Amino acid sequence: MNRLKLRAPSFWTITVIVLTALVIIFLVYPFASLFLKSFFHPKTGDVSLVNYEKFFNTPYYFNTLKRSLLVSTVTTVLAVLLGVPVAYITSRFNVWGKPVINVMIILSMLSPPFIGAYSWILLLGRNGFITNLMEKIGITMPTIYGFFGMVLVFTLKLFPYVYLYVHGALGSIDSSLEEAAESLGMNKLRRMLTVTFPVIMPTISAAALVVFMTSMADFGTPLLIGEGYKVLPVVVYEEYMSDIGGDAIIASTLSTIIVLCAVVVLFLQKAYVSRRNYRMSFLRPPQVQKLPFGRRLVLTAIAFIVAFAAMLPQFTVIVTSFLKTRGPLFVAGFSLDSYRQIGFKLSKNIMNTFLFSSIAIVLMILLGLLLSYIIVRRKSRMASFLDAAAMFPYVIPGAVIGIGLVTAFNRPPLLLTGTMAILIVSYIIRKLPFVLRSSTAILQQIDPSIEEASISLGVPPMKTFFKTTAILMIPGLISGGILSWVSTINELSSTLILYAGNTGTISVAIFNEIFKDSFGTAAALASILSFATVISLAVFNKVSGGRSVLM
Amino acid sequence: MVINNVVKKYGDTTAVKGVQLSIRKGEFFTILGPSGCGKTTLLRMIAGFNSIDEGEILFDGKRINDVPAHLRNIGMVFQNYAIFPHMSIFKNVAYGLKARKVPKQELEARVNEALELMKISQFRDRDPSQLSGGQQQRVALARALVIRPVILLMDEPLSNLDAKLRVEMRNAIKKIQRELGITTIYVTHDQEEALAVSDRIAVMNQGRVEQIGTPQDIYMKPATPFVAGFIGTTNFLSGVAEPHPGGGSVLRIENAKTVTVPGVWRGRVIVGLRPEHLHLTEAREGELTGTITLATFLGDFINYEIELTGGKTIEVNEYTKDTQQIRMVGQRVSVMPDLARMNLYPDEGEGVPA
Ligand SMILES: Nc1ncnc2c1ncn2[C@@H]1O[C@H](COP(=O)(O)OP(=O)(O)OP(=O)(O)O)[C@@H](O)[C@H]1O
Ligand SMILES: [Mg+2]
Repeated sequence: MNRLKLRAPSFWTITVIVLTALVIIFLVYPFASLFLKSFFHPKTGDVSLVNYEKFFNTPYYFNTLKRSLLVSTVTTVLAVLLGVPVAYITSRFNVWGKPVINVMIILSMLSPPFIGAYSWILLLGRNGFITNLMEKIGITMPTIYGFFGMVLVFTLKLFPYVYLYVHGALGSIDSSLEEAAESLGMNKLRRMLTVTFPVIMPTISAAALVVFMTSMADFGTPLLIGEGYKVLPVVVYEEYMSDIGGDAIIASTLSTIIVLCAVVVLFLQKAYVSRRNYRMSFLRPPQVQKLPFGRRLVLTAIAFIVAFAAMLPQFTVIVTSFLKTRGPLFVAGFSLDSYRQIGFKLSKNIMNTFLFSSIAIVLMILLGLLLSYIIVRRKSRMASFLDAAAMFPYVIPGAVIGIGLVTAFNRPPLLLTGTMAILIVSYIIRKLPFVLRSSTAILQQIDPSIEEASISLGVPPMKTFFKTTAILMIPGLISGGILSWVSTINELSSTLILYAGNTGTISVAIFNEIFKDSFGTAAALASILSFATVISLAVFNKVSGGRSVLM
Repeated sequence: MVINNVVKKYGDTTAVKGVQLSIRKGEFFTILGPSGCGKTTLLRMIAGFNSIDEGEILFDGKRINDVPAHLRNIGMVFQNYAIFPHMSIFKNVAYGLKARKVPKQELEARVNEALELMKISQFRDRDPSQLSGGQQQRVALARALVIRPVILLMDEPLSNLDAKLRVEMRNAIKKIQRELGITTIYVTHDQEEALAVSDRIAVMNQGRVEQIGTPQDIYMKPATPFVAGFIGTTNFLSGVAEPHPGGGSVLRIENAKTVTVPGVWRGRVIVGLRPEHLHLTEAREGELTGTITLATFLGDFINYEIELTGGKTIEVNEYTKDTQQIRMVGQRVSVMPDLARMNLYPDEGEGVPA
């Protein structure tokens, strides 16, 4: 036998090589250089920890870290406590208006978090609608600014992630598991606690991770509602903005610190999940339980109240967009002025948003499909590297991604600054972890012997993958795709740093309008975004063959 | 098909330690062994899902070590069926034929034939989730058979079914295998199943094949104490033997008086005796003697548990047709081995198996 015969490299080998190259160019190179900067002395250029000494010895910096961790932790706990029960209600009971609840919850994720913050200020702020109302009847509302406001906004903004993930997981549990527990004499509550929740715990932890990372990385919300309660990303952003042209080392140090904290959390979650790698054959989806009228009504009400609270900023924004304005002031009465203004000023931004997001989402789904397969089914050292690398941006705040890409690609051979390519790259980098999380979660529930069956029937591995596993993963990819689509068209933090004159997006325009005190146009833009997303969700629903938008 | 000294290593552990088998055309060949002995690993090496670290596998004289799984033309039935959940039953069965680009008409005909054979024609257009476990298993079998594979591999295909269905399915499998004359390798840890369906059985233990033979061979002449203990029930007693100048050997079992056995044996030996190869008499001086501690009437036979003088417990069966009454617990009896059915093994210092 000739042992030296050269075999053509397999499809998966080539895929791994290509993905590795992409990861090195667009992730490792820009961010390694960014973070390494913080380990050098600003004056002498020697390797040194002097920047970190400065961080820990300066309360102004150090306190921001403590605040960031506190806000994110509290937010995560609250989001899980809100998201899981509601997901359980809508996936297991015949409550009324499920599609409406689902759409409301998805839509509540729609607006950029700083719009949520802005709306809550409109309602509960110093001069807020509710504040003034309560004052009239003699009740003084607690202040919305600072810690409380941030947690409120983040929780309502982020619990939908928990809801969507858990809803999906509950829908794909093999019903025989719960039936088994039932047959073992477990009552419903104990069954839930001993079988259902432990089985979906990996999913809950994945969702909790998204919540934690997002709330820690966001700077739009704290910028608006945090006021004196400054968290880490706000300071990173401020330092970067004021450092332009100067010495960006403290921003790099702060970025590294926030990333390190997040890395620790990420690894804790990974360690947790790796010990609970359940595999199920989802041949029998769980039954939806029929409730008597009274309990059905109560559960429906609970679900709607939560969904409504999440939607409240949206309503506020929509109403605001129709208010008559004179300059920065609202005057009595309604009008379409705000819309008229954006119509001729900002239509380019609207087009950009959808063009960039569409390209990004297609690439993301393809990457998510291939990556999750390599990670779950073709475990190797390279696969773990790709996993870690693709997941890494979870822990990088959007602003830091923007800073990293701008500095890395502002000269040939890869001159991307100011192009739409750099925005698309940043969207993929930022949102791929979301697609990847849900696609790996789904893949873990697909029996590997299904592929072996196909191979043994004569279908080569690559074709087998696309005919079996890939098709079975599509529901998961769609759910991940929706989440990413929604968050991509709202991406603000990195866009703000990467956009140039003609690549501005809707969210950039909203941000600029708010800071120009043009609240009416900001609200109108946000409403357009909501409306556009409602449309895209509807289209999506059709395209996916009437499948639930969730899974 | 020939399997030549194949070895599979997972890191430090060797799951398959040089297995040597040759499987005849049309044979129903079973790999039997306790959990973790390497059965699945070996089967997946044949299927092409596990690489072969050493040795080789030959189909019709051709080495297939480097042939990718999808070109081996092997039918495989999985323990958990692995039915494609996103395809109807028809599409599941047609899948392998589509891959082979079988013309539409022939495809339809062959799928229908396979469904008929497995008696699942009525489920043709259903989704897999609407079938019971046994029905899904039939689909899996139809899907594997319809491609007319050179060999059919089954990994514990019945372990997810209830006992009655298991017997029914194993008979169906056996009948279809006979009808089609397809070479089959069947993996199980259920010895009764193995004895019932197989033409020949390979008994595996810790990555090695301990014995290959027909069900009768394996049962009547187990090659090692492990096989004797794993298949059916065997009482193990210790003995000391010495070759007899006039031929055969003289053997003392435990502390009974010596008997003469064929073959040349020297030193410590392990004596394997099945419960039905022992006869009970009233207690006699110089024989294996003990006290009945349990008597279980099982219809066609009575199973006695006897504690021998010296503390060892053995099982003895007496057939209802040969005896009138059930012996009482506490009765002292002597146990007479059927010397022709006795199996002797050299004691390699590990003593008598428990
Ligand atoms: N992928 C793997 N990595 C490491 N060790 C493995 C792997 N697969 C199997 N093993 C080990 O190889 C040995 C043989 O496993 P195998 O699955 O072949 O057993 P089996 O005889 O099929 O058992 P069972 O009857 O329980 O299915 C076991 O000790 C098992 O732990
Ligand atoms: Mg096995």
